[in-house]
Amino acid sequence: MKKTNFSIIISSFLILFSCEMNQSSVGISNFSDDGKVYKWHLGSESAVDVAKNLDDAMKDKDYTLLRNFLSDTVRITSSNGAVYDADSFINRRIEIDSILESRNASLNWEYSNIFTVDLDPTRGGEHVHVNYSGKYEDENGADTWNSINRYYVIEGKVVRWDTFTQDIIDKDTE
Amino acid sequence: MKHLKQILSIFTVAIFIFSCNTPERSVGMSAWEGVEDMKWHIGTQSAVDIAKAMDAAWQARNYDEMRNYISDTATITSSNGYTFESVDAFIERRKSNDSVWDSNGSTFEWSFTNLFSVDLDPSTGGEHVHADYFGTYTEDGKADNFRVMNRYYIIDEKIVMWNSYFQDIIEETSE
Repeated sequence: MKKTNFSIIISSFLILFSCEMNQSSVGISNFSDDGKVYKWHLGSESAVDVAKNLDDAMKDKDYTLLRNFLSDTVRITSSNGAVYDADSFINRRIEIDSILESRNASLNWEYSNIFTVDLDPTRGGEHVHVNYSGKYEDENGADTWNSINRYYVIEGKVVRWDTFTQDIIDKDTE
Repeated sequence: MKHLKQILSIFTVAIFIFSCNTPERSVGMSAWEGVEDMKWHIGTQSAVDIAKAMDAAWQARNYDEMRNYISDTATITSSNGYTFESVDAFIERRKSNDSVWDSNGSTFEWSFTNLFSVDLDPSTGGEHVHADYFGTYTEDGKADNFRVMNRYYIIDEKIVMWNSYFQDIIEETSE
C-alpha cells in the first residue's frame, strides 16, 4: 500500500509538471533584468479585466476609480511622447473634458481586441494589449484614428502605459 | 489489492494523457466581426520567424528577399494612415527612401525589442505577430528617436496585413 501511495504522489507530480511544461511560449524579448532570454507566454484573464475596468472608469469620467487601477509610480506615455505620472495624467484628462465641453466637441473610443502576454508566468507582471478606434468630432468635422494601448500590469495595477497610434485618413475630408 | 493497483495505474496514465491534451488556454476578447466569441491564444514560433526574417532582409536592403515574406495582396498601412497601393509600391518607397538618405548623408536605423505572436483560432490559419521597434533617424548629426509597433497578420508564412503604430520620444536634451 505504501508503494501505491508513493506511485500516486510521483504520478501527480508528473501530471502537474507535464501540464506546466505544456504552456507554449514564442518570440523574443530584450525586456530582461537578469540577463536571461525570455519568450512570451499567454497572460491571465485577471490582467485583461484590469484593462476593461480601467476603460469603463475612463468612459464614465470616474477618475477616482481610474486612479485605483494606476500604481502610485505609474509612467504613462502618450503617442506624442508626453510622459505623465498618475496625478498629471488625471489632471490632463479633466482638462481635456473641460476643453471638449467648451468646444461642444466629443471624444469617443471603442476597444476591439484585448489580450495579454507574459514573459515569466512565475513572476508578477503582464503586458496587456488593447486595440482602440477613436473619434474626435467638433463643428469643423471629425478626426479618426486607431490606437494600441499597452499596459504593464502588476498585482491589479497599471505600472506602465504606452500608447501607439495609427492615423486614419478620412477620405471625406482629406 | 492487485486490482486496486491496476485501476490506479490505468487511472493515472489516463489523467496524464488527458492533461497534456486539454485545449490550449485562451484569454481576452475580440469584437472583430465573425470572431466575437473567440479569445486569444499564444501563436507559433514559425510566424515569429517570418517577422524576423522579413526584418533581416529589410535591414540588409535585400528587397527581393523581403518581398518573399509579403503576400501579393498584402495591405500595408503606415502610422500616418497611408495605405500603399500595392506591395510593389511599398518596396519602391523603401528604395526611394534609401536613395534620399544615402544622398543627403542621413541614416535610419532600427532594432526590434520584442516579438510575439497571438492567434484567435489555432485550428485555422493566420496569426497576429507583434513587433516592437526602437528607431532613430539621424540627419545633420541630429537624432530623432521613436518607437513603432508593427502588427503583421501572417497566413501561410506570408504577411497579409501590416499595420504600423507610432509613439514619439521627446528628446530631453534638445526639446
